[in-house]
Amino acid sequence: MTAPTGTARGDQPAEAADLVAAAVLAVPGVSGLHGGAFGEVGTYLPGRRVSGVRLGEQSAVHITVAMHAEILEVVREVRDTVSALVGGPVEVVVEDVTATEQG
Amino acid sequence: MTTRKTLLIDRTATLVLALVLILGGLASIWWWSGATIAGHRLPDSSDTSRVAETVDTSWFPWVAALAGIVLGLIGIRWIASHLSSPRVKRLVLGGSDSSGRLDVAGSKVAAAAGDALASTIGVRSARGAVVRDRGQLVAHLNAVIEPDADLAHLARRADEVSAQLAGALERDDLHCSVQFRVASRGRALPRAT
Amino acid sequence: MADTESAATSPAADRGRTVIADKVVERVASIATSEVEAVIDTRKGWTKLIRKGLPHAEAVVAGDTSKITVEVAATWPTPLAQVAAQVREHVTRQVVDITGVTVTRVDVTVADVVHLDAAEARVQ
Repeated sequence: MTAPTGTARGDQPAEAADLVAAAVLAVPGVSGLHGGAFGEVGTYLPGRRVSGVRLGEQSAVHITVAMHAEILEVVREVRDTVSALVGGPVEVVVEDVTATEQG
Repeated sequence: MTTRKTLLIDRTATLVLALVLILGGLASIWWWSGATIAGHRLPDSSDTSRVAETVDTSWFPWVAALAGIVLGLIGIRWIASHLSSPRVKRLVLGGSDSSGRLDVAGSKVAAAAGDALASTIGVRSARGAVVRDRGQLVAHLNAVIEPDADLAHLARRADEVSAQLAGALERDDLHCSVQFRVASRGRALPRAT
Repeated sequence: MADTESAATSPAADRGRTVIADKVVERVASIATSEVEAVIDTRKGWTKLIRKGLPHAEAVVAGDTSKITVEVAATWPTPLAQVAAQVREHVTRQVVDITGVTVTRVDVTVADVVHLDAAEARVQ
């Protein structure tokens, strides 16, 4: 759960974005990351981008939540997870809910 | 929506028109016969000079225009009251309260009843509509049946579907009318022999 | 967008905002609606061609309260008032439980009634 420290300064946010994305997706109830209504939310990396994650002074993660998960609960856990990784305030935006394949 | 009021006006207008026609007819016969009735006799020629005088007065154009507008508006209103569809778009369901309105699309529920009726053997097609007829809420189901259909069975089926409709809507003020029309010609059905 | 301060965690402002999109409320309402018995989903498959995609939900969210309008398709024959009332209750409960947004009103319209046998016969 530690951000890579030994690497070059410019490299860090890139890897952190991947790490955050993976950690957020691992939170139960999160069904995906969401790029925003116009796909505007994301972190650009060389040759690719991590959708739904923006890190910096004010970090933001945009997520979709699985139906039947308590959203505020999920949001709290996502915030805890992300701030443990990058620190600082984290804006959590729930963009959509996805139907789950359950009875 | 054809309301009771519109119907009353229609009937009154029909009565008045009929009376005017009868009186006009009688007057024509009287004039043609030249008979004297109760000491009166219709003149052989008519004098229109009083009409010409009235038309010449300064107030006549204004009154005529005003009367024209009023009559025109009444006419438009009268036609409009017949044109608007009596179909009921939304039927409010029981249980509507401040926590939310519950309603149903009238045409759709009647169409489903029509579909149910159409699935009966002997019924070629059926359609339904919910209308407001003289202040009453009526679900009309119209079915076209085969000439050789079993009428007793169809009557039972009609009762069933009406009961289902009543059960679906649970509105005491809804009446259901089922009309069967016998298809004019038997359809050539492919028969397995 | 509804800004819901996460009341349970202490200073919400320090830790960042929580934003729940209006669409979330709509989606939860629409999924909750399709979970009610006697409500059928006409959004998938061939039915989409001849019928409107139902259930359909619209939500107006102001602050953390919402007004929801739902259109549903029900099966024939079902007591529609019951179905509609069930939809209203289920949607209210699910939206409150899942999103934490208060629901002040849910209007339910049974926009279609489907006689299943006929629907099947028509497609043959």
